[in-house]
Amino acid sequence: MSAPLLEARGVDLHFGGVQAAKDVNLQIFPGEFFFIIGQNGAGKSTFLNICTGYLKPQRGEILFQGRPITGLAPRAITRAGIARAFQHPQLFMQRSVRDNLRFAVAAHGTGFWRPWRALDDPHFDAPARRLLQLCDLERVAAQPAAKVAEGFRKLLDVALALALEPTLLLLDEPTSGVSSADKHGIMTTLAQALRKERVTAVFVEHDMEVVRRFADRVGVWANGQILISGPPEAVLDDPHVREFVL
Amino acid sequence: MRAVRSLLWLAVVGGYAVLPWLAPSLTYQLTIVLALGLAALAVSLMLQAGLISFGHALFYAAGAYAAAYLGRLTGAHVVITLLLSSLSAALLALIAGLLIVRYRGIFFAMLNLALSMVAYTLLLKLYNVTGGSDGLVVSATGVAGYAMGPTGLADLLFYLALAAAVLAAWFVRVYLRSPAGWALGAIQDREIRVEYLGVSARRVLLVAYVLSGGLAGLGGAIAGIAVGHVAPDSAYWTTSAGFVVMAVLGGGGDVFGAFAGAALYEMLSVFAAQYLSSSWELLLGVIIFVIVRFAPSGLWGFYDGLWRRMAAGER
Amino acid sequence: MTAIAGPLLSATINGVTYGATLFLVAVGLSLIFGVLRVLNVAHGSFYALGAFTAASAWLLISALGWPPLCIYPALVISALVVGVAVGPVVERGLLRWTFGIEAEAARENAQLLATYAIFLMLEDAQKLIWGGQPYYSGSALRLLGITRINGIPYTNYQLLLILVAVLVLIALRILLRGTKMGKFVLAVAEDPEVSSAMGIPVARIYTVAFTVGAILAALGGALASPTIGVNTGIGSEMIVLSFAVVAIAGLGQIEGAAVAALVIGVGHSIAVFFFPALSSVIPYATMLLVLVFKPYGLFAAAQVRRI
Repeated sequence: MSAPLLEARGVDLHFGGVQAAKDVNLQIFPGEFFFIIGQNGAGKSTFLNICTGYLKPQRGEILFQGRPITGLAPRAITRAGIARAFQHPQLFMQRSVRDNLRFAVAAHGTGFWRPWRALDDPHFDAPARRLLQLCDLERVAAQPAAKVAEGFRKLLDVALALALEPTLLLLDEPTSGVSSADKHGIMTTLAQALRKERVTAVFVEHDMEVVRRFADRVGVWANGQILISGPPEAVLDDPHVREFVL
Repeated sequence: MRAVRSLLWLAVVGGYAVLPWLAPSLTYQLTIVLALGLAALAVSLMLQAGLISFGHALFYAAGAYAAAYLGRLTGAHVVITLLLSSLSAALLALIAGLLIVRYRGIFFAMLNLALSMVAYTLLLKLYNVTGGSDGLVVSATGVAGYAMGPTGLADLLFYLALAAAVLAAWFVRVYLRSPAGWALGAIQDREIRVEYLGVSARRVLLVAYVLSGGLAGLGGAIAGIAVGHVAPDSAYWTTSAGFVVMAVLGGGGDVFGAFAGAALYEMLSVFAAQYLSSSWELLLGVIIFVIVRFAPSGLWGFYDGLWRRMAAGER
Repeated sequence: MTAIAGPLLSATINGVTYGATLFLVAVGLSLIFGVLRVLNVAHGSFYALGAFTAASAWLLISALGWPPLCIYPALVISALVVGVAVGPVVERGLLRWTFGIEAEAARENAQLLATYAIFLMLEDAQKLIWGGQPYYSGSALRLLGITRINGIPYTNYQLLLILVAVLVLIALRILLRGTKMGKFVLAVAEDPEVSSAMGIPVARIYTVAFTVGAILAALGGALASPTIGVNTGIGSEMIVLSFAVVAIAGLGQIEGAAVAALVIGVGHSIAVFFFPALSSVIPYATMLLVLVFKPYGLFAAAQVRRI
């Protein structure tokens, strides 16, 4: 097996009396889709927040490509190659979908600080177009993010992350808040985009059908700990998991 | 349509440029409007990021005092004086900005206020350096070393101010369309996403703050030379609040809004000084309130809305 | 007594007196912010209105030939009149609409500008009513006699001022923690939406808190009026000073405001003795220093945003 891309070693975090992460040990390998499942309050989002530097663990270490990133600021971790998408899409709501993406492209590439290079310059626009296509957003490109349906916002949130050409993408419930009819379409678009960009991904997900269909590996969270992890069939059909977690 | 609008701007700038010929007695007022407009532009730049500064008089005063010193020390050329004064204010903004860009909302407003009040008090009390409440004389010499008469200098200053204003407005416009300028609005909207795109919100704000300080300083230097004198009042918080009012009157939407706001403010104040000397603030208060309450996008919003409606009518 | 200790003690007593006035104004500002989340730029004007009204009350008492001691109840009544007359009008008539603005930044900015507009209107209202000349009602200062501490005379009025500030602090504590209305106020300060769902009349609590805040500012002005020349411009100075106190304490802190006002008052008076030129810098410099190390003030906890 190849070296892990992301590794958590003995990560602990508690807020007051609540143990949000308890001795979390996990390895994510290049190219895989790892799905985190578990009940509300199990510490799933907390783990993503720790990995991206929004929260600092009280104990333990996070390694990315073998280098420690524990306690770095979100910006530094993003620059290192870990991008994230949010449960509630964090978009520039008054601006067009296209401008959102152009800005993400500018944030990642060169030319951000050059005042003479406008945001609609081809330098930023060309990669943005590609991402619009990749994430199936062309139809709504000209509309303000505030005006498009939640499904498009979810896709745009991921597209913004992909504009950074990340090595690893963390997605917090990418299909929550979307009707179950649209869910699979969105997940299929996302999965294709991620595969095409060769991005490793960690998902937090509640829908077991989605997990079964898209996961390479699954980890079950409860009370801030990983109960069990492994291939989806093995984990999801585990009687203990079925009884207590799902 | 776009061409018509550009032509209109040219006409406005051209019209403004010939006003001193038509009414020479207005030259001073017209110069002051440009100086105030630069300060209002500085404030509206920070407004792009949703940040209200109740302390930009600090940079305005810094520019004016710097002009006073430069005039004293070297009898410097007016262009060099303006440039160096603006740079001094920008440098001050860099130092202050390192602290201030860490704050948002009310704290940003209050810290700017506190800094400017420290400056105001120092200007007032350090009599030996600043002339205390008497202030300092600001003198500037004309082009190429030889002195010009007072009218000549006033005219020169007006055209320099106009050139500076047009240049500044053009640059800010270009800057606001670049990623680093666009980022200001993005920070107001979703700072967390900006950081998660790997961009330092503080650095974006610091760059804007330094630019903003330089613009306010330029305005202050122009006003200082035009008046020929600078006093600590130029750093008092109500001066800052005046800039905020101009920016809001004009509407934060576009660079010309700041100048329109400054012009309206100055016109109101001249009018009020003549006809209702004791209730000018009352009138101003009512106007600000009405604008904030009923027309939050200001003069610019009104103007822009007009064009939009015309454009929609054409189709 | 050493040569330094004498002036130091004297400075401390003067500073505590000054701090007492600052506290009264600042605690009103803090209360309004704590409950309504509005930074009230017009707060200094309430202070000025209180001072002007009290000065007029003194003139009236002299003109009517009433016993001079009437001035003390008159000071308090002036403050109540100003607060009750101005507070509800400003809150209901001029600020209520801002509470409906959803985006936090837009709301804060609209409130800053609206209260600034109110400040301008009230500044001119003062000039229209009281004219441009200063009022001195210093004789009220001497009515209560003098106490000597270490041979240095202090007016008993100064000491009374300190007492009033302490009483206000205690009263606020009791009213907020011990009465039903006070508990409502605290609940609204905590979370207006939840309070509303629990059946607390949030709109009325807003008006009450704003009015009490205005009364406190006016009380500060009324009580300070015998010690200062009441003039236009005192409001614009007081608002920045009370901002500084509130920022040092942390927005919405009440006991903290007392500590911050004391620190500024005493610091200011000590500076008057040792570096008179720099004494007016003290409040702002203290505020800057505190905010550098404690961005939310000394006594307030940082708020964590959820993502």
